[in-house]
Amino acid sequence: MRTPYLLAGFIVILVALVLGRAIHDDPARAGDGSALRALYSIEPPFAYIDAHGRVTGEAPEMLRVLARRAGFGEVEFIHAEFGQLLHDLHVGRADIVASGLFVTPERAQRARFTRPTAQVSSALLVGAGNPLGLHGLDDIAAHPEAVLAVIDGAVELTVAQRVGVPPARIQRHGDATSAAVAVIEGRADALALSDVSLRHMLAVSGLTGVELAQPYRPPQREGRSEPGWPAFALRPQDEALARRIDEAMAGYLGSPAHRALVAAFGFGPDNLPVPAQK
Amino acid sequence: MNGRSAMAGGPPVFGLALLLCACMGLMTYAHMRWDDSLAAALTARDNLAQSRRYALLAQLDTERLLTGVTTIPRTRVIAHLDRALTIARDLRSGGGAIAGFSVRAPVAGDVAAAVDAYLAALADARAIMEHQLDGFEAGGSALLPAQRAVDGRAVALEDALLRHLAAQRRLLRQHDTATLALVAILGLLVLFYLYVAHRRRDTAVDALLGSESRLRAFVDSLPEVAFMLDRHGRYIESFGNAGALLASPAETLVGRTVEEVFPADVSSRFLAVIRQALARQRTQSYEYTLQLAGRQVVFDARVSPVPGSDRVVWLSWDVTARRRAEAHLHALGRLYNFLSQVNQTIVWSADEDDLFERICRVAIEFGAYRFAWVMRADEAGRLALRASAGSAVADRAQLVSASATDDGSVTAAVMRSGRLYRLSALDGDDAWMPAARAAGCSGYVGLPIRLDERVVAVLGLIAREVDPEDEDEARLLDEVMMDLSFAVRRLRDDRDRARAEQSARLLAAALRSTRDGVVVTDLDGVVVTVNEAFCELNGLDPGAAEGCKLVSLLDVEGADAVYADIDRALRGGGFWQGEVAARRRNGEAWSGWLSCASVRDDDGRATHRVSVLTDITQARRTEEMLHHLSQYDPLTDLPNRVLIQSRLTHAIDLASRRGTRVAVLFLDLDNFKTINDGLGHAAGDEVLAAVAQRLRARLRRQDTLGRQGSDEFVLLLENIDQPGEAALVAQGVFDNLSAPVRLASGQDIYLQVSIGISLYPDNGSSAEDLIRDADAAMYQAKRSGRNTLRFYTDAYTDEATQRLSLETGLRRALENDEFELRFQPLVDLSDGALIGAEVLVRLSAAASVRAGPSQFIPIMEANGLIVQLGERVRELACRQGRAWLDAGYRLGTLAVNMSVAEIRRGGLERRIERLLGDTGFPAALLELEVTESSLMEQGDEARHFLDAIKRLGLRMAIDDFGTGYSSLAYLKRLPVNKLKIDRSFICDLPGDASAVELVDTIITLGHKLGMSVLAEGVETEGQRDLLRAHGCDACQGYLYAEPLTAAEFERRFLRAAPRME
Repeated sequence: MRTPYLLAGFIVILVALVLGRAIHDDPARAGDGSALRALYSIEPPFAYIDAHGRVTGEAPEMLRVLARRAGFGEVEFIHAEFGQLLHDLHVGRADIVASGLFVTPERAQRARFTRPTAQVSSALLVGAGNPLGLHGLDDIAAHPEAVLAVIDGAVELTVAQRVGVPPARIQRHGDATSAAVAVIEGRADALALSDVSLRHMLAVSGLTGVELAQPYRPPQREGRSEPGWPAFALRPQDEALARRIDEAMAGYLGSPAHRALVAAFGFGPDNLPVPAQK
Repeated sequence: MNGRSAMAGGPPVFGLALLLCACMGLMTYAHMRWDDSLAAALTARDNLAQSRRYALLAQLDTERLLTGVTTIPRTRVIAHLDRALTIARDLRSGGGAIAGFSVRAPVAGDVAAAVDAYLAALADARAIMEHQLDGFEAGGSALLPAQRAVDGRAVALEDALLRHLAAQRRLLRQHDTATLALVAILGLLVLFYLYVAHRRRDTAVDALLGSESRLRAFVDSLPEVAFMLDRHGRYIESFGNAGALLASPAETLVGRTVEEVFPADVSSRFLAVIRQALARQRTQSYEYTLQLAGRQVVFDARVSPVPGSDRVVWLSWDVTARRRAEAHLHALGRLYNFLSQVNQTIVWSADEDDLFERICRVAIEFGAYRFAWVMRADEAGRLALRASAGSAVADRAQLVSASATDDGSVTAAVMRSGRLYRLSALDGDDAWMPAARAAGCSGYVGLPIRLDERVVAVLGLIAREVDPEDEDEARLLDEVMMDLSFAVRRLRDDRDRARAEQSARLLAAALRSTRDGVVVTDLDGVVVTVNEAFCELNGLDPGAAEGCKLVSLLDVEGADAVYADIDRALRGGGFWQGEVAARRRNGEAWSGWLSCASVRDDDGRATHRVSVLTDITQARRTEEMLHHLSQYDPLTDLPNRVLIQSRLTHAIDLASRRGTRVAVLFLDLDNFKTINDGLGHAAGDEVLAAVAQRLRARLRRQDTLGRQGSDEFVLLLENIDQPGEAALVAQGVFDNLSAPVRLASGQDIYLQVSIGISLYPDNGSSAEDLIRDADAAMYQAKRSGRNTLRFYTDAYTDEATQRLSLETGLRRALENDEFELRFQPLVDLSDGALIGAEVLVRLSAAASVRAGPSQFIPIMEANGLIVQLGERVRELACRQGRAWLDAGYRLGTLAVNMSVAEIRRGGLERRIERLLGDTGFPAALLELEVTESSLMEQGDEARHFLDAIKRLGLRMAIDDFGTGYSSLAYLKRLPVNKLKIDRSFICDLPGDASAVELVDTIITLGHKLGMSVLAEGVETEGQRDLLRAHGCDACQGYLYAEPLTAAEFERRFLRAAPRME
């Protein structure tokens, strides 16, 4: 008696599984030869558009190399505001963020980061001559009127808040140039950003009236300075893609080609995430 | 559920599954349609929104740049526009992804056109922007209109998109409607299927319920008990309405286990049965016994496993009554078997002990009794163990401890009661009871065995238990009892009958084997039975005698008188016995001693007569032998002195009446004493026996030879005319004894004898005198030189001497051929012709003695020389005859005389045949003449000889006819050709008338008998004429010629007669 029922049940279950799989089967993810769509925010030297209108910078260029190495086709870059990067990534408007996004615990909860592409310290851009004598975020916090400009969504904002800079004195900007202009124009007293960004900005934009605060005390956390670790970010569910990128990076990071590539964007040996390869 | 219903359930199930799959497929399809539509709508809308947003951002940045904001990098405008372009191209190509929705569905139609227009606007704006990156101020005003165009195009695109989405939605609605309809149909199908299934189930359930209620009713109506039990013996349910058969009330039973209800040993067996039924999945039969309400109940149970569960149905019947009935039947069957075996045993038993032994064994073997024994009472009422079987009472002595019929034992009680005796408990005082009780037996059955209304034995049976109330058993045992009584009676009767038969057999055997003839007759003298001896005695055929009259079987002398005498004696109530002279069938006489008596029946009436006949012939013979021994000498079997005396006396009487003489020859062997002494008495006896035998051989019938003394013999010669005859006999004795006697030892003894002769009446008239005289004469002979004879009278001695010398001379003459033939012619009376010659013999002149034929013929006949002489004469005659025939003479027949002594000696015909062959004389011419007296004397012997002679072709003549005593009948049968009338009749012719009559009669007689008649001794012509006148055929005599020599005969007769040519 049971046999036909078992058989029928089995058939139903089998069909259900097949159909369910058909329902849940996502469209084929980008594979060999398919184009990767990458988000970037204009954040020199990590990512920006050169004079020819081409998207370039440490992250896009490196991603192009890595995509080639991993067997992908062209990388299609679409621009997004910095604060929109993770959101657009998350809703699926792109596959990867290649914009020098720092690895932070908060972000790590929303995105899957690849290995860091570089090691970046924070720096403080102050007006020429450092009128307020700001040498660290704690100085800003301690200063009663010092206004700190940050890139909206950048790690410095969080760090600043952590070290006790009151929100009222934190000025948020859409991009680094706007923030630098605010310091130049005196609307802000300091801009906290990564050292490479600030160095690239100073080198490329030809801004005057600002300088990097020297010396600079990187913010301490539990007695240690915290370097920033820019990396590619992917959706957490795109684990396979992340591994492909990671694998492509493994032989590339620290290589002379890598060093040559990133050197053009102001990344020195100390910015390498791994010891330089000979 | 079986395979068929499983197969029946298959298609609907698969159909349902297919329907489900179809539903799922539809849902999936709908989902995917919706998903695709949603994704397409979402991504399209998102793409449009993104594109517009970044186009607006670019416009915003541009406007801000145009207003002189420097913090905005110009590249950001490009970047915004690029993104707007990229996304717009996605829109055009149908790609895009948002929140997990991704789509790759190229747009067409209005949307495509709107997208293209939008793209073109964006591209324009981008180109303006790019151009302005070099010289921003120059193209700033141109960018705004471009961007407004972008806006306008975007709105148009949105309209197109929304329209497209509305169309999509309509399509989806149609799809959904179709899906809904399909699902509804599917649902209806499912419902219908469910309905059908439900209906079926309801029907099945109803059927099951009905079935169950029926089964329940069925089960409840069971007169027995039934349970459902699980593997552990727990009562699940109880059925049936036989509450009395339950170990405890039904309501308390359910839920408990058998272990709780029954003792451990019972419940363990129950559990074993349950487990066995479950393990084998087969109904188990099980019979058990329970004590319920104080009674033992036997149950027969069927324990069936309930399929697919670990439960069993236990159905029990109360088979107590049936088992009891079966047991009873079995017991009865056993008893029937016992009875049957008893009857068989009775048939096979040879005697009472055998019967009792077998009965005891049968009781054990077939009656299932533990012990059986038979006590037999003797005449004095003492009991003895006759047979036993079984093992319950090992010590047989215990059985016989009480051995009288009047003691207190059970056996004695059975004997007294004489009826079937049954005990259900062995509580008596008998010695065997403890042993029987120890063997587990409690019942006793005593079967009295009757013989002639008296109890003579008791068959005791010990059983494990006995029910004295069991009438069936009692009936069967009564039958056994009666059969045994019958058997004992039958065996007794058989034994009696066997004894009677044995006795009868013995009597019959005695009758058969006795040498006395025994015959039983009825009162009429008809033979009822007769033994072999009787038949033998009477020379009867055994078996032929019965039914015949005794008178016809037993041929006794004076039968009438004897049988009358017997009849008288037996009727008088007595018996008869006496000697009878009887005659066997073959004529042999014998003597018998006959005893006759009556056989009486139980009432004393005579019914038969038995006669015993003893052959006393032998006794008589013995008597005679004794008598013979008293008169005869045992050595020589010759009359002894006494008998000689008696015979002599008798002979003297006879001789005195006849006027003849009696001669007594006294013989004494010479020198016998020498033989006796030298060779022993045995040799002497042998000699005496030989002498007696030789002498006896020479005796005439009328003579008597006796043995007078040791070597003395007496020879009595009666009918003696002349003393010379005695001398002749004496001479014969000498001759007889001249040859030596050969003893058994091979020794030859030469005997000599001296003979003394006395004569009556010459020498005395009494026997004593004659013997004495003869003895004296014998002494004379001995004195005169032995081997000689002497007459008591000297003159007789001389005569005897002369005769003896004549005989000697004749013997010599024969040896020297000193006999001559004479021929006397035989003349035919009718014509006087010579018809032959009679051949006569004479001593020749050369012989030393002188004697005529009348002298020497008797002497030669007496001493046997006549045979030789006859031979000689015939030879001479035949040769002479042949010579004459050869000479051509007409000879006629030659008649030769022949002595009867020659005939007596035998072989004469062969000798004559040989002689005729040798001489060549024709047989037809030879005629043999025999004297009438000698011929008559020889009887049949002569006739055979004559027949042989006749066959040879010889003629035969009777000589001296008329002097003998011829039997005419005899004469008639003889092959005789011729009668010769004796000369004594002729010489009286012709004067004597009676002689003439006699001769005439003889002639007539001869002619009547077919013979020719010849007259002898014709001397005168008167005689010749008379004979011729009376028809006599031929004659011979001196009238014609005396006997002539051959030469003379030839001269006178043969030569005168005409010769044969």
